[in-house]
Amino acid sequence: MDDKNMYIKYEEARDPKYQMPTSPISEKITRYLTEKNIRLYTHQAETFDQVSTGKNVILTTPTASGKTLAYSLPILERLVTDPDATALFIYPTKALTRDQLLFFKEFDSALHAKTKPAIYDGDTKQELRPKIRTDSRIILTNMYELHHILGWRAKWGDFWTNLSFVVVDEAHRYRGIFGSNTALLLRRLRRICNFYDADPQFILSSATLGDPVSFAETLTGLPSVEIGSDGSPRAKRTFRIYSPENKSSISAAAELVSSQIKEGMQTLCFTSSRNAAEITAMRCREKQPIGNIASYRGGYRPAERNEIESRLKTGHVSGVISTNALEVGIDVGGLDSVVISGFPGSMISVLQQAGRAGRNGQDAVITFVAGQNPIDQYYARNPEAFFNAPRERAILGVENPYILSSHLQCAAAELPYKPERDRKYFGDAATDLITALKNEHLVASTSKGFVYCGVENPAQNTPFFGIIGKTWSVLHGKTILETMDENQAYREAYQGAVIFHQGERYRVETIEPEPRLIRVVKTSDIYHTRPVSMTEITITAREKSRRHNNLLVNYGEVMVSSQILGYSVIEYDQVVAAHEISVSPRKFTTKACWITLDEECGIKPEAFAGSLHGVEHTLIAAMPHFVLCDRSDIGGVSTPFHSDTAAPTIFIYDGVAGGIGLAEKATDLFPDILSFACEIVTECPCTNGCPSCIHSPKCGNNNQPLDKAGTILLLKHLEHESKKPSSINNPDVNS
Amino acid sequence: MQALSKTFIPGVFLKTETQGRDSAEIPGTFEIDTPDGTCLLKETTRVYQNYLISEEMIRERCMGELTLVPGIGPRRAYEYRRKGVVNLTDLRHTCRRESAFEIADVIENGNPRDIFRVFQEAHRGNDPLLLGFSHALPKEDLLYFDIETLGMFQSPIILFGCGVWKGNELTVTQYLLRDIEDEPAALYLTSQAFRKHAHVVTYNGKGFDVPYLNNRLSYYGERTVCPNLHFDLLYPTRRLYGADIPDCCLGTVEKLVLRIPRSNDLPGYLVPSYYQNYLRTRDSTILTPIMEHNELDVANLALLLQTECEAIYG
Repeated sequence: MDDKNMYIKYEEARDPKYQMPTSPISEKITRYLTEKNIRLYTHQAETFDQVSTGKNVILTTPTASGKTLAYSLPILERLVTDPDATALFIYPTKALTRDQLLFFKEFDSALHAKTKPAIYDGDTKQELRPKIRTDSRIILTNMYELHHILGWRAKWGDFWTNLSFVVVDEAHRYRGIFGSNTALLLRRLRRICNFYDADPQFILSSATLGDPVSFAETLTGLPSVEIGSDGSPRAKRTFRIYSPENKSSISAAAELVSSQIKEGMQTLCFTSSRNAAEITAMRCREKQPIGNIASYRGGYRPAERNEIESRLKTGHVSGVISTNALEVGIDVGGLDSVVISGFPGSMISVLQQAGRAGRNGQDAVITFVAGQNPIDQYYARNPEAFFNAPRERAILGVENPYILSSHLQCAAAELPYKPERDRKYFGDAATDLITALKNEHLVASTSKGFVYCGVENPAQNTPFFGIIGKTWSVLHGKTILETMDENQAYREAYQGAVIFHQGERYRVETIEPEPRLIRVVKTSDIYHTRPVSMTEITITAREKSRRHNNLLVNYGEVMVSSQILGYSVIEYDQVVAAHEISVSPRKFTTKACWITLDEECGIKPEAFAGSLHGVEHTLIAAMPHFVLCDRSDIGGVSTPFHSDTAAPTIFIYDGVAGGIGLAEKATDLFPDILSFACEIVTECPCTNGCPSCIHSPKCGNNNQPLDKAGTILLLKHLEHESKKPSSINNPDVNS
Repeated sequence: MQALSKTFIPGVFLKTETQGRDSAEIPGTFEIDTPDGTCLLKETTRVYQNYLISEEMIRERCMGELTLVPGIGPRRAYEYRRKGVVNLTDLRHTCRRESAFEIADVIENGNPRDIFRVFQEAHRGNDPLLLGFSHALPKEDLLYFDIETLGMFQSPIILFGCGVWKGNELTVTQYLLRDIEDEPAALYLTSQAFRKHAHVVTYNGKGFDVPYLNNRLSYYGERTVCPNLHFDLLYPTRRLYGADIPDCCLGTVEKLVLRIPRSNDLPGYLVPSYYQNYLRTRDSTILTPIMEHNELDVANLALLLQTECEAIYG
């Protein structure tokens, strides 16, 4: 490995800072802490105090800082002193839930707290459910399950009546569209609890965020206090940024992992996509004894994942290559080395992934391997920016009418909806929506309030929590290899696609939509496939325009139609063939922002499309830096001539029906996004465009056409326009 | 297939109650006031043959059920029988005599609810033998119950069918919603019926009708119902006739077991869309087939229960 390409930064070890809480602690808890030799860190003591005085809290200290103990202590304190009080703990994955249950069971038994901690989720057997509802005072679940149980008031009434705490772990995940759905779900929960005269405190445990208090207040609807100053000890960490030359980041990461394992380091490598995880693992295996390397993904069967997690913890596997599925707090012990192969999409993820490094206070090393894409290369060239990156904000809103409408139906089905009372949860916009629902005969106006009277179960019609259940199964013979959600299945499991599983390659033979099965056969071919898709967009309504000096950014409603046209066959990073397939297009209405160009900026006509395309790619690459969202949350389309605008146009749209404020936010922050995009491209030393600046790994057109010089000209022109004061002759455009 | 008793005659239709304020919209119904609002009510009465089973006979039959004892499954019971063991008291010479005696005591002296519990603990809570109690206890204590809903979950119940005995006459009282506004009133009247009649007879009511009713009661913040004995005919029907009929839908059972097929009956799965149509158009003729379907559902429960009891007890 070439040291010339490495930027190294050392983080010194840090001593712990202890503190005693000022709020009274019961004897049982004090005895527990003494027996276990636990001294509380500053943030743990602070959490204890804030929660004991009735505050809602958002904990933003890093991974492995003892957050679970921080929030469990005051909760168990209350549950021990009040034998009726209950608490609900919500986790994003079943794996994490199982892991946390062990902690609570041990804690409960040490305290003789009689809380009977139990998991209540889709896997919980029917026979066990009634007992858990009546006897367990600590219940662990997930948002999806919560969404469905709110409708069972007869069975859950007692639990809600005594609910004193709701804990949301990994809260930063609830952002973007998913976050908005979650925010409304939590409001429905509060509404039911308030009906039973309960008013639970909300405790959020989150990765470091920008503006965490505002995030917490939007997610829960309640005022919150942040606890972010970390008192836990930190081992010495070496942070390296490595930008490989003359080889792909996958190969570089594989080499790095292999060499570290040879040196006896237990290594965890995070990759930015499922395919990357599999391919990297395959390359590592070429140099390692069998069984020493495992790949890990969310779609693997639970038994398989459990096995890898425990082998990691006991040290029986030296290297695991994973997607961000292992980022989440499952206890796998600390590791000697963490390799981050490709920017995971947000700094939050980087810190979480890095947080896995460090075992028993031993020195650890974290290496960021920059991939061939704009953001990674930007950080490789500007390492200080990597370490001083501003904290990202989590964006979510509760006024998206599509989502609000679904949740209002659920709310009306849980408890008759009364606008005067329920306005405080759902806002005034909700009152208008309820009237619209009434006109569609989905709710009826009665003296008790608005009563849900649709035919379908409203919980099943809610996006994310309703649809998320539609998983596809990948079937090899009679074995289910793994599962995929709808989007993933559409993108990755088309006919002829090659998918990987633990180093084996499979080809998709047939797709059966009704039982949602993807049948695959094993293949020993050495290629992999990438879909070629086409996306069309039409403007249905321009809602507003934002003028940034001389640049006009439009915002409004659009109709997006995506279609997979075929796929490329790729061998050793080269496209060797292309096939066509016939699949029906997927259409949806959403919100988008768009800009038009009124001049060619000196770009030759044959290069114009490539320049627009390049600008589109870089804008999409730059946007997550300012608007926290998944890459899958946004999409883009560019064209030299669009029928609706009669001009060269670039669209950026929200990836989910109805829009969720991403394009809207981008409209306001456009100049910042433009500047960053400009920086990315101008600072790239290549001449004609390369994967480092204007190529997008997710481009459905195989990154064709692209023109770097033209992209730079256009971006500079747009940036200039956004800074130049508008001339008096331009009419002021209002929405 | 169990042979039908030769003395079996289906219930003879008597009359439909129409009092004073006949709701012109829906024939046969009238408006009724409750503390929770108003809804529509319709009563239909049929006369049936008298049929009784003595409690003694039921208890005697239960005594012969060796598999009620923990540790005795069908194979062991068969072996015991081969050795001459006839009922639970004969087990006094075996290692299981203690539990056998306990259970025998409940069967001989306990109240029906305890006998039900004994069967439940042996995972036989829906055993056809238990049906006998429905014709041994006072008939007035029985409530035959079936609902029609606007959906499968979280939608309002639009029609409640409640059947009660007076002598040999079974009156099916139906509570109908003219509007979703009427639901609390109908729920009120139904709860009253549950409180007046301790035991309930349903078809799949354990899994659907009663939990659904309780969900709706909770939805409005009302107390839930808790019937004493619940005779859910779905399970005994499966046990008795399951092998001989293609499915256990009430319609199939009526056609093939009771031999009284319905003509022009509205299939249950169409009820939600019919009612939605009514809400949109306010055409009350749409409701007639819904009412008829539900009324027959309840009335035939009585028939089916009696038929099955006769099949078991003669």
